[in-house]
Amino acid sequence: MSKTFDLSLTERSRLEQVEGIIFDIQRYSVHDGPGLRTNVFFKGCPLHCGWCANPESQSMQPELVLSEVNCISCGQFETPCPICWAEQGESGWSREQLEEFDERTAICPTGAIHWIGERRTAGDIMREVRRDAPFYAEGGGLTLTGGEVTMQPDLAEALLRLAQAEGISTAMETCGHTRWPVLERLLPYLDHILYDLKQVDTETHRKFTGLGNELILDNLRWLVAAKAPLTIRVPLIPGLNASAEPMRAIAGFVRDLGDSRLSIHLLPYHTLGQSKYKALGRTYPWAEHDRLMTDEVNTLARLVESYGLMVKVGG
Amino acid sequence: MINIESTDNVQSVMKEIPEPTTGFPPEVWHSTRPSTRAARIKQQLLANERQIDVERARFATESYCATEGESMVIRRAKLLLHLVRSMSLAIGPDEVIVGNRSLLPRMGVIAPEGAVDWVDKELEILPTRPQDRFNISAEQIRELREDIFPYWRGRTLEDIVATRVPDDVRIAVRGKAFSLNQTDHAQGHILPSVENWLRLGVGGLRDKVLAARQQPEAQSQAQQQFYEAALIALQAAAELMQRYARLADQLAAESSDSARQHELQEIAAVCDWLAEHPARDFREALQGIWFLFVLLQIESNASSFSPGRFDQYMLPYLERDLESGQLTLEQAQELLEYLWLKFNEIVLLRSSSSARYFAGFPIGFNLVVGGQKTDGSDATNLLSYMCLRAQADLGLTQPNLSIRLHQNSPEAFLRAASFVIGRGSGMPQVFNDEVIIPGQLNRGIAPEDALNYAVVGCVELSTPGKALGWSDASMFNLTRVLELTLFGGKDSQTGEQIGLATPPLDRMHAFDELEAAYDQQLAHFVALMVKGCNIVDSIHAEIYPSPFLSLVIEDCIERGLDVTAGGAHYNFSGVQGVQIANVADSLAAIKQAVFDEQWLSAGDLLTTLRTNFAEQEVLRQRLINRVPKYGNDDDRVDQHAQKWGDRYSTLVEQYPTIRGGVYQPGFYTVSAHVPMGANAGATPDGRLAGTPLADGGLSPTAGRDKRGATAALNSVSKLNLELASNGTLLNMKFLPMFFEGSEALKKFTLLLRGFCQLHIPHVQFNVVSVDTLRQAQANPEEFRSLVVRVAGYSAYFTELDKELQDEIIRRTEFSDVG
Ligand code: SF4
Repeated sequence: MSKTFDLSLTERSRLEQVEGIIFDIQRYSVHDGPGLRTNVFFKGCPLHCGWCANPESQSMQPELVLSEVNCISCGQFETPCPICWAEQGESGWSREQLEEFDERTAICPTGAIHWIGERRTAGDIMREVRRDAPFYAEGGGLTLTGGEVTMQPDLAEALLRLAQAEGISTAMETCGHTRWPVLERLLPYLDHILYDLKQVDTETHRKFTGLGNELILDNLRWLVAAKAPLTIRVPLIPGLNASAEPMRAIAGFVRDLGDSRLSIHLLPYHTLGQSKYKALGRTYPWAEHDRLMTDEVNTLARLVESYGLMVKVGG
Repeated sequence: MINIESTDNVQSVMKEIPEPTTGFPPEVWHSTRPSTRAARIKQQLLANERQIDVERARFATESYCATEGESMVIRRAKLLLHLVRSMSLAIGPDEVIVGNRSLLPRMGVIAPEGAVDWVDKELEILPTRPQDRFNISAEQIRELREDIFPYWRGRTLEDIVATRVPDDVRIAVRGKAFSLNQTDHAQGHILPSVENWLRLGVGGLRDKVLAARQQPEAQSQAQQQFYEAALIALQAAAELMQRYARLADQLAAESSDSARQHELQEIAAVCDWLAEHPARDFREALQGIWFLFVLLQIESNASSFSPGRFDQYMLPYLERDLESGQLTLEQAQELLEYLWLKFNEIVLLRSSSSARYFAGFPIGFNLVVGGQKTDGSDATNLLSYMCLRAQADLGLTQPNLSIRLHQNSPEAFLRAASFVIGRGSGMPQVFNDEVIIPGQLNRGIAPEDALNYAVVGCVELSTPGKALGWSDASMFNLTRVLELTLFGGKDSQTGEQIGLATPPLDRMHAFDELEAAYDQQLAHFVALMVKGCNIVDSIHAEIYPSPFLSLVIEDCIERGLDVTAGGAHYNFSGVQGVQIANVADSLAAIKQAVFDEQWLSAGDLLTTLRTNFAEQEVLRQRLINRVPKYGNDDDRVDQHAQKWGDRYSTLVEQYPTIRGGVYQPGFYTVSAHVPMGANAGATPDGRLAGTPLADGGLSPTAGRDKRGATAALNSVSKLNLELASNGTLLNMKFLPMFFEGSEALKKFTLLLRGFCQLHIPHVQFNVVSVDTLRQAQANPEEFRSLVVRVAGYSAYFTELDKELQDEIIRRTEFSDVG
């Protein structure tokens, strides 16, 4: 059930002009909220998780991507792009390299080399989201995801309010690493919050994501107190939390939040993002880990269940 | 085994599924498999090598020799009578529902009155040709060549068509602007009134004919001949059933198994009863239906006699038997599945070229369940579910199972259908009342008939028992006509002037001029197509009267007029526009590259197309990747699809047919996108010369729709598809993951609901993994029962030729991973 807020015409046109950077709009998503959804992927994230399946979501800047399978070695350049696509260092490519690549994006016949990340207005994004309205029955609608949505609160608020004004149900996925007032500001416009919880132990969290989890845990407590429509999502990452000890800590933490409506969705690690690292000129940091076996996932699901929590595998 | 107790019960069980769970459908559909006996029949059916049948050709020759000089309608009736008296019959060891139109299942029957020339040419290659193979012996070849074919030369439909098609039409056909169909066999494509057949029986129909014969306004010689023919046809029907009864008696006498003996005696009793009387119960009705379709096939040997709304007309028989306790639901399901197996026993022998258009022996027993009653209320009933269940159990290619959806279709029905779709047989295909019914009304169909529409063959829309839709009159190659337009009406290779002499692209200064020229060429070729179709239609009336079929099409008896001569209550001709995706993508490319952004000159484009992109791969890739494509909900290109799809529709619908009624457009190709692509040169959308067009009819070009299922559906919905009242086809391919578990199924039903709102008449889903298909290509033996969708119907994957297999593998997958 989506809450509807009326918008004045001036307010609507102001919201429609709010801009931000996104890297994809994925239609007909069967995950990330109830029903069928249109996912808007925000670009930029405060965390840098090694297992991230959307590495292109991490930086807030547009980035160059080379998808090698699409390169036909068109012969327009002395050296085909894949060969100059040396691994990108910490500081990225040099200015000259960037200019050179930029030129190539303009004339690459297949689009194999292209920029990812685009500044778009909320009005423009909503035009696309709206097109799938016939499919939003039974709670389907717009999901903001990323990247980290809360890094662009203006765009997030604009999209959520525009959607709600049209009766489109809203959801947001967040890593929780943001200041509380940001969440507080978005909360009224959200029908669902998919809240990521990766680790309860602060040091481990810092080690693997680059930042501690104090904000994340605090925000979660506050959201529970505010009776926010929460679902907790735990990515099951081998090497981080896909074992008994960390899962016990997570399950215990959630149980102690004391909200019996809370359910936990376990999202098993997959390696589908691996090829994206190469396309961005980076190396995949989590390479040494294997996919999880169904059995392992089920064992962990039972463990979480034993804490009296509702569990679902997949999102 | 099933233990559904009532519709309500099924629905409640389906509603109760706790969500999420992976156990859908729960206990009632827990394991879907046929009964042991049905499984055995299925296995025998699939193991069967297809043979050529010479009997029909032999007896047809005898009959035609004996009836020379008589009126054609009588000759056709006598042909039917001679055939049912002479043909060899068999009853299989496991059969309960009996009858076939040839001795063995799946025989390739030759009907010489349609054509002998192509058969003669292909006799030697029938066992080895790429598509639809049949075994044939040296003696059979000899008999056909020496004793049969000589009589027919010059008298066949094919030969007569060849002498009557005028030059202007011939040039257009040879120039591949359109094809003329139904030129070598009877045309079929019709929904007989199964309801009347069951309700009246042979005797009741005879009474009707006898009464009609007395009408003062039915005294012309032609009418009286029609009635006489109709009576002979009914005699033939009765005799066929009686012959099966005697055969069953004989087998019973020979059998040492007392259970089987008893069964055979029952079979004999059912056949004897049906030879005169209406069906009384579910089993008799099933057997009666099958005799109807066997007889129609013996008479005509044609594609697509379709059973229509089976769940509606069969429900009373089922309900009565369930109430009286004569049948349990389990028994009823098993009987139903015997009929399902029977629908797979008739295949159509086609020429190599026709087999490319309609690959995999589609015979078009389209059976539709669900939808609305004539009062507009939901029509879904217990039998609708049982039919879905039969498809899940058997996973065969026939009947071509379809569902009708509307805004108020029950959730459980959508779920059950989604479950069966997820099994990957490509069925049921999905039809949308919300756009089809208004489309039928728009053609002047009465409201109660529009609400009662059913599907013929693959996707063609028609009124059961009342219409000759002639739905496969022609395929019009919109892509080829665009290609001709670019070259000023000339063939790009030979320079031959095929269309009007409009200016070529390199003499145009604006995109408007191209559109104007295309419009002229379309109007020109549509007129020629209609001219050609009318000629073919009139020849059918002359040499292919179908008195038996006319008995089950209203108003033939009342009017004393054969169905081929216009006796049906509604008459149409359907012509398909092929292929919207290539036209839209090509026009978008020209507009952007040549006129708007001007990075490609018209002259260079023409040269490139003429030379099939030789040394121009970079340009080709640019045209493919840097120009928007149909199927992505992008108005820049979808506007062309909408404009030219609708234009084709309005051009077509202005023409009357010679039987009354009008031409109506459709957008579907079955597998014809392969040969029709072979007929078109390179196109500005980056398609290479001779390669397949987009598949289906309204589908985006394979691999070019990259924004997910909803975007593709949105693109398609921009056309005014109410006008495409002959039928449309949209293929979507899904990975099995979209159907795994209850929650996934639930989400799939939401896609169906959205589809229903979008006013797209039809969609079908190919759910299969690419790996499975590759494996099947490598090891056909292990995958004989693997069913896939080839645009508009299901076929066995292993029975398709390699090119089509590859094509299926390439189709876009709507995968949401990553
Ligand atoms: S421009 Fe594109 S096709 Fe050409 S070499 Fe670079 S990536 Fe490959």
